[in-house]
Amino acid sequence: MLKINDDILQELESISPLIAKVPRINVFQVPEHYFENLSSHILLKINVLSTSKSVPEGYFESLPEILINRIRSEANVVSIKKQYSFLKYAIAAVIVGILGLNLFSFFNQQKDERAILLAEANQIIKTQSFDAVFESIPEDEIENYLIASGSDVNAALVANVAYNKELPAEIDYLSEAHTLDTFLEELNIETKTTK
Amino acid sequence: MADVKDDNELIQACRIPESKEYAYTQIVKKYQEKLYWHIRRMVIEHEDTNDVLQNMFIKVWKSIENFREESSLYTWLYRIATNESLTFIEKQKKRMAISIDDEDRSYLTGKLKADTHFDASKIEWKLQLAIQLLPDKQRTVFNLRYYDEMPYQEMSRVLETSEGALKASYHHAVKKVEEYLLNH
Repeated sequence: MLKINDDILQELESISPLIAKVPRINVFQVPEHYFENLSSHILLKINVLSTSKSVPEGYFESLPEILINRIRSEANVVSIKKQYSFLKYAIAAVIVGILGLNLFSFFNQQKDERAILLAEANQIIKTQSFDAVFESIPEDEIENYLIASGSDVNAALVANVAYNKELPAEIDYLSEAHTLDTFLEELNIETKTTK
Repeated sequence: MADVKDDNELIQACRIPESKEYAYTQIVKKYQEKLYWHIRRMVIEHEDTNDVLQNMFIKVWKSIENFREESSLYTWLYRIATNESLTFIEKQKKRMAISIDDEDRSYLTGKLKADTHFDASKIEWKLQLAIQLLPDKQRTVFNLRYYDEMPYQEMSRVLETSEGALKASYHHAVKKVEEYLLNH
């Protein structure tokens, strides 16, 4: 049984004598020797991640252009149905490095702030306003637009999640150089099936 | 190399490429168990805990050179561990198509009941079930106070919430847990 600090125990007794009497037992088990090798495993993972990060110099900087060229080269993308516009927008957000930051901050927001964001996202889906916005912007200005409209990007990402399209995590980009290619391939398959 | 154990020395050593790996390893070894149990109580399963813990330590590796010593290393690590755990739970719920606002805590109690050692007749497991039924914030506060015995001042830095609000949150959490134990 775990020993409890006197101050914590006194406070607990004052709130609930019942819980203060419950034996403080750790019910969970951990595999034997788990902690002995943990730091080595983590360092190994870090080394793998750092070596697999060796994509060509400037690769990530040029990704917006690569993405836009890929989109342009796909004739059927023009007829992407509205939900994939969200997806396209979200991918572009990933390219300019907004995704990780905003999803992270989204989950760390207060509940009421998240509710407002979700309401905004739902409104976008309902009114299809995002499609209209997206179509009105020249593709070569997407990056600037994304940066300038942070809150819309948040909402678009949440709207995208609403379509159950999980975007690759930042860490996936670092560990697998073809993550984006694979994801875009999946997108193309999806767009073809929505015709 | 001399054995450095003070957190500030370890942080400084992490900023030097030649000593980063050694100092980082010392940090992991020093805090791994405390953080493991904090995360484990949040996400319940060992495998999930291992993922969250490793990912948080990778983030620490990436950002420790820029760590601003406005808070202690201990506080900073707990903050990352807490945020990573809550983010993990939200992602899991999303994958299972559970609403973010859903107050039904069956996701966590289900994980608890799936534990091979689970025994609903034992008070310590009932206590765990009651804790998993708390809202995320109250559950975090309860765990940090009850298990980690964290002073409110420290907790205030970890959760970026006032001490008064944390005391109130702990009080509500204890009362809810008590109510559950009285009714089950």
